[in-house]
Amino acid sequence: MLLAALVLAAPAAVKAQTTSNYGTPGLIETPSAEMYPDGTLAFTSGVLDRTLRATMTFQMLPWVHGSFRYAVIEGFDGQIGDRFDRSFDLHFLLREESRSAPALALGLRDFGGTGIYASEYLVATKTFRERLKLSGGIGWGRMAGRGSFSNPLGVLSDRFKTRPDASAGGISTTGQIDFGNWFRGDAALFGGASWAWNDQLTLLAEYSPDLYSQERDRIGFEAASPFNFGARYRFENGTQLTASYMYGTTFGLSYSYFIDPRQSVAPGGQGAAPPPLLPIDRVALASWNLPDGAAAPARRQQVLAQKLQQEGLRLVYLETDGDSLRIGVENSRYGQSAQAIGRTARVLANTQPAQVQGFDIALMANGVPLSSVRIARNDLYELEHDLDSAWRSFARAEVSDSISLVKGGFTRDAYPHFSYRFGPYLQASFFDPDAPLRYEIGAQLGLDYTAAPGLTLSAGLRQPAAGNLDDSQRQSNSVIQRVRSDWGLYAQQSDLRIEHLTAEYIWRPGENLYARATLGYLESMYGGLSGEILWFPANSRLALGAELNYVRQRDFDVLFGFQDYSTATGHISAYYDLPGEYHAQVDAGRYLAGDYGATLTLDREFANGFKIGAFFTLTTVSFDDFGEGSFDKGIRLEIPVSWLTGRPSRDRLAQVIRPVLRDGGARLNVRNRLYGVTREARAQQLVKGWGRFMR
Amino acid sequence: MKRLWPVLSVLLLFSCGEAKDDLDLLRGALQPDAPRFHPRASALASVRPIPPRLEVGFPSRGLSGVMLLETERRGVQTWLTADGATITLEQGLLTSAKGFGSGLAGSDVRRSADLLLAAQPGTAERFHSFLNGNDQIELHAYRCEITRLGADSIFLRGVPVPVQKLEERCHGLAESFTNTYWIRQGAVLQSSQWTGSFLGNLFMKTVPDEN
Repeated sequence: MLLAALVLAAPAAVKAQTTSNYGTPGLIETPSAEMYPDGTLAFTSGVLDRTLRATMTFQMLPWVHGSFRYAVIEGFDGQIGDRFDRSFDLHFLLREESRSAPALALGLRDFGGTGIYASEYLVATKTFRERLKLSGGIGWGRMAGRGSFSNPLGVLSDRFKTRPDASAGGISTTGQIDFGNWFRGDAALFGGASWAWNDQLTLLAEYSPDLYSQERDRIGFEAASPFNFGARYRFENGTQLTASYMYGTTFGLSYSYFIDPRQSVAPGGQGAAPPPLLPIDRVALASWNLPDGAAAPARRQQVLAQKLQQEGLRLVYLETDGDSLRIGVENSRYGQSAQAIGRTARVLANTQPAQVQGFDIALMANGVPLSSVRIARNDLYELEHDLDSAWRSFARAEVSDSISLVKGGFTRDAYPHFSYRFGPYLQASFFDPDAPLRYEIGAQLGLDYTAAPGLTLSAGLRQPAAGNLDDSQRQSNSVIQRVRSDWGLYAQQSDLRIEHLTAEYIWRPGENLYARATLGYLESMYGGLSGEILWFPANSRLALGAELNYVRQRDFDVLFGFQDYSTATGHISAYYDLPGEYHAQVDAGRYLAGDYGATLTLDREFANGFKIGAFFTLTTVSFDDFGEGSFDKGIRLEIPVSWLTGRPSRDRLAQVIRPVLRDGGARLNVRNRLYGVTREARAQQLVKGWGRFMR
Repeated sequence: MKRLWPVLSVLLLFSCGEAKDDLDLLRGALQPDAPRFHPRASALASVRPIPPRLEVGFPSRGLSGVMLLETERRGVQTWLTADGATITLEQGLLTSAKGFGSGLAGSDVRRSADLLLAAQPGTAERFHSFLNGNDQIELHAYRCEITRLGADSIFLRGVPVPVQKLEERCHGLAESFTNTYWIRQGAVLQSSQWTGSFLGNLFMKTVPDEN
């Protein structure tokens, strides 16, 4: 669904690189030393003979890009059938191209997978007159095929002269980083040229030393010649189609699609504009502000609530204190909290009597204040039509931990509050070694009943309707406690599922502190008790949390029963909002299978909410006991729905892609972890989205 | 395997709660031109006497419609479309456009306005801020050349009105645009003004009151 959605999005116009059928900058099969513009996401599918490679490449830093590739080689495993191969690449720019010298890059292809494509290379690329590009380099591993020679690095150390067999340890060793093999064994030269006939058409020729030895032995593919020729056509929307004649025996085709996460479908969004500020005398003369006795405040509150609702905001708290006013709202519409605050401020200015000079606006979640922003009414009037209104208003706003709530402040209708959500869902899984994509679609119902501020009873039901998630016949071969690898049994033995059924209480034990306690069926595989505390100062880049859970594994039917396995699991977490669109998270503690270890997650987060990240977990479960993949790792992608539609929405499409899901390093998926709930309203996130304050 | 397509389709038909938003989104994606009435626009349309109107259109998209004057404060007029998008005009010059997809957030066009309303040729600097696709504000400066294209006449309610036609050619670091104004007695009666690179120029024409 995520990928399909991305295809609907506006593709980015990437300048004149060519992308190889491995999905990285290059010619036809060989790499070049080029980089994509920083932040670019490139999706490529390449076919030749009986091989299909689907690659996602992300330019994570201006000088580093990383790739995740899913390859299918038909008939590769003989009796067993097709080979589904997952691989990761990393590619570093060592020096930029200059007037007199070429760009230089170092690449690690398939540095941790099953090793079919494992190779390392050093490549140089030089552009002449903007049209002709020459690339040449030296490759090791798979690239050391035709014309290979003894490794020149052998002069440094004898260990470089031979390359151990990558698959010697069998499938159980896959996923271990093969530092030991890098740049070892024979080497070979490769190179090629691209010539841009015009802005659309580029002609390609290359010398690829790859002999396709494994394919030759297993599926009879013959690389008769090292020369490949191709033509690339660049469409107006920036996508590229390359057709090629390869290895003297076959034709190849590849298609690349590029996305710039900074370019949403409509730059300013197509949602309704904010209400303009009314002249203050018109507000004073509004019927609800006329001094007609005791009913005026109630009438005013009603108008306020109704006008907020029109903007997608729910009034839950209101308290006047001299010439300022404290208000709590729940935001159900805007992805950026700054926009919710801006809309609230405008509605207040258009409804409140003239003597109210300051607004303390608290964003609330289920009755819990997440933070508070103080806006002076006069600043709104002064800056509404200012050229630089967003930044000037941020400079004058004050973000603080929270408003002090008094008992009578909650509005009469605010709690209890019931909300529900009913609609389709799609669940995709990429971690079955037998099938690149498993999915399930169906209907889901979500119910939330907030009985009192902070206390919420919640249920989530799913009814699968179609899909192949439950077709998996693969039995878990895990030698440790099967805490996740039985996912196939869950899919097969369940029908109508209770995804969660919980009582949850979130509260503020003190300044800069949040706490959560959750009891019930916490997620589809575990139920029990979960407690968490988070320290998160309003203006801080750093947050620290601790979580402790006691859980029991649920029955495979995902209804009310439990299995025998129960465990205590919990983590200490540190979250840090790094400068420059990066975010780091470390979780250390005890995982579901009783293993101890830590997870490191690094995300690139764009200001508009588009996120791309990677994580890995190392625990006391040994690589051997973990099984295929050796340790838990993956990449994750999160896209705001508003990025795709241009209309305001808090929904996000999120997908975690793991090469394999097993039992080591598995964490509980409890809902509403405090950092995720609170972060949007803290200063670091508010400042990123403040461009939308006046929107 | 649960082949429950009928169940699913029934559920889709009766999806409700917040999922209504999802269906609205879907409908919006399938029928981008379907009208969506915003409550503020409905309220404004029921005001009597009818508020001042502006005929508008985006020639690049083949879109046209009518906007109503929602508010005027400190010389800045906010005009509203039926689906809740607004533009602001200061002395007839466009200063913001919100809800159309382009991100024109604010402007400083006073120097241009001074020359244009006096029907004077000359050069002026103007500044625009844009909300970009990454939710960041970008400030752009432009140098503009204002030239008189001479006397012209436009039709308002079928009546020809003599006007001065002026053109403003602006160049910035990344983009260039041309605005055209039809001016009579220091008032912009008709214009074509740039909203940003996403949608290009917006054509506007005042609708005089019937009496």
